Amino acid sequence: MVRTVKHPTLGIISYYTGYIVIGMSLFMLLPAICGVVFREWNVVLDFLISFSLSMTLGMLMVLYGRQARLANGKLMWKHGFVVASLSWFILMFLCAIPYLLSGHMNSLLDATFDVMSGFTTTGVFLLQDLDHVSYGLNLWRHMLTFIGGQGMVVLALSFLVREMSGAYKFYVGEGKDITLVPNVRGTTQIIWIISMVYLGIGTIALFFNGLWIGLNPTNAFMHGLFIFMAGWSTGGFAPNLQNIMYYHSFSYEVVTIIFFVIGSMNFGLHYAIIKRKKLEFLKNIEMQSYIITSFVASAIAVVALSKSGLYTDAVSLFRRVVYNIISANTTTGFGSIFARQFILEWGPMGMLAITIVMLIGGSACSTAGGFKGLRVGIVVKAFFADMRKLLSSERRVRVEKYHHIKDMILDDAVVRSASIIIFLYIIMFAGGTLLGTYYGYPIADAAFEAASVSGNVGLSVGITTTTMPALLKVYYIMSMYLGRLEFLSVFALIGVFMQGVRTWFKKS
Amino acid sequence: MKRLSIDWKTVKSDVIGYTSEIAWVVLYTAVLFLLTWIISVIPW
Repeated sequence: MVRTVKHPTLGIISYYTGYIVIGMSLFMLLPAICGVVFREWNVVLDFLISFSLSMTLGMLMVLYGRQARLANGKLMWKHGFVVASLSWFILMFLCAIPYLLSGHMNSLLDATFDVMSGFTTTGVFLLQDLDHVSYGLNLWRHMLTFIGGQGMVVLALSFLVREMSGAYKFYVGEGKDITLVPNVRGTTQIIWIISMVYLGIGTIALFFNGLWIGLNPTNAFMHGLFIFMAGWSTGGFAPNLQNIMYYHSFSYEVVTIIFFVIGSMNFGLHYAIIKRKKLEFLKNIEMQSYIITSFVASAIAVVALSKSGLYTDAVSLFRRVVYNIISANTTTGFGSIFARQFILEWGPMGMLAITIVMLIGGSACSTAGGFKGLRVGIVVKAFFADMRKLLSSERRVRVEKYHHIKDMILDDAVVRSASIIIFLYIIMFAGGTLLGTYYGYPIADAAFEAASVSGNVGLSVGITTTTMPALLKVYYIMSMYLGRLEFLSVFALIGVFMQGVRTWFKKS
Repeated sequence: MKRLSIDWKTVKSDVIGYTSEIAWVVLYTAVLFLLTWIISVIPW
């Protein structure tokens, strides 16, 4: 017997979103356990309250949607996109509860800002008195960015829902599109295995480095874990206000560079290299694009700052200039100088170089943001292909290809899709710059901050503070959200919402 | 009862894979430092 359901679309969306909420609420138990270990009893209480509220809401959503799911409601593309964007939106509020209860936030808006910054692996924050935040809350901040980077929607659904025939729709909805093995469950498992192996390697490397620079064993381990999570996910959070400067260590900076560059690489590329396709690192269009942009931008910034006489030796230039350029290009956001130094010392040439690389970003299907090296590579390749076509004989038909894990044909659809995303990013960046200048910030500052949030980077020149205008905070939240989910999912959510409103008006 | 066995061949292959990925990025970082050093010695 086929059961009829009153609102099948709403039911299916509610069912899967509910499971994602349940998944994230289970993660809230980890900071609570951390609180028990370090005897931070307020933290334990904060996270137990947040867990109870989130778990209740998740279960209610699953119960509401269960009937639609049992009636064999077919999972469509719009469901995948809407579930991805809606769950991010709901979790933005639920994951903000521990922040609010901690007393480190000035308002709900500030707390949601920090959560969205974590999920999207951006790294800007409005949290107050960071140097005195508990281990438990710090673990939560870094977990959000680590989980957000790998993809929390597919993770939650892969482990919690038995029947996942439409998982690919959720996967694409969360801004990822590469399949390492024929099924999404297998692909997400590989993504998580690679991340967990590196979590082990990175934390151990930073732990020993921390001991070497004089941290006590507990801090060396916890800082190693936090910094690795933030670096690998290209998030840029740190347990201290001074960010990476806190450690005053060249070796610590080099280790973090290595892990955030690896973190910004496509998961398909990780898999190919690990499975013995070693030369893929050099052949891949995305890596070629990234290597060229990072080298050119670093060279420009080093020339600009070398000429100014601010840094005279190679080590200083590498630590204070190249480190920030690579951090920006991979959209990590670790900073080795103070925010105002960008404005006061870098000059127009250095600022331009770092702003451009922030917009370009890292690799597609990675933890990085920005409009991605792959799309830049495709558009540049298409430009040269058109030039060649123009100069060669009209009779000659040439199939253009590019290499991304395997040889692919560079057709018009691929170029159009890449160009649209780049165009949307530029509009979002221009809007952020305009809004910043409206509130009286200088254009260079406004452009830097807009590029940082649009590209999910996290570097700041000082605009992002708790006293900034509320509308600018909302715009930055939207930019991080749209930038991370690459527009499509959020537009689908708005579309379904508008459809619902129209139907409701018609009925009434 | 099925025994838990480790496929050492796969483990060895994966260790080589992860090591080579890290080696590529270490090489990239070293070249970046070399580029910085070259630019820093030029009298601008």
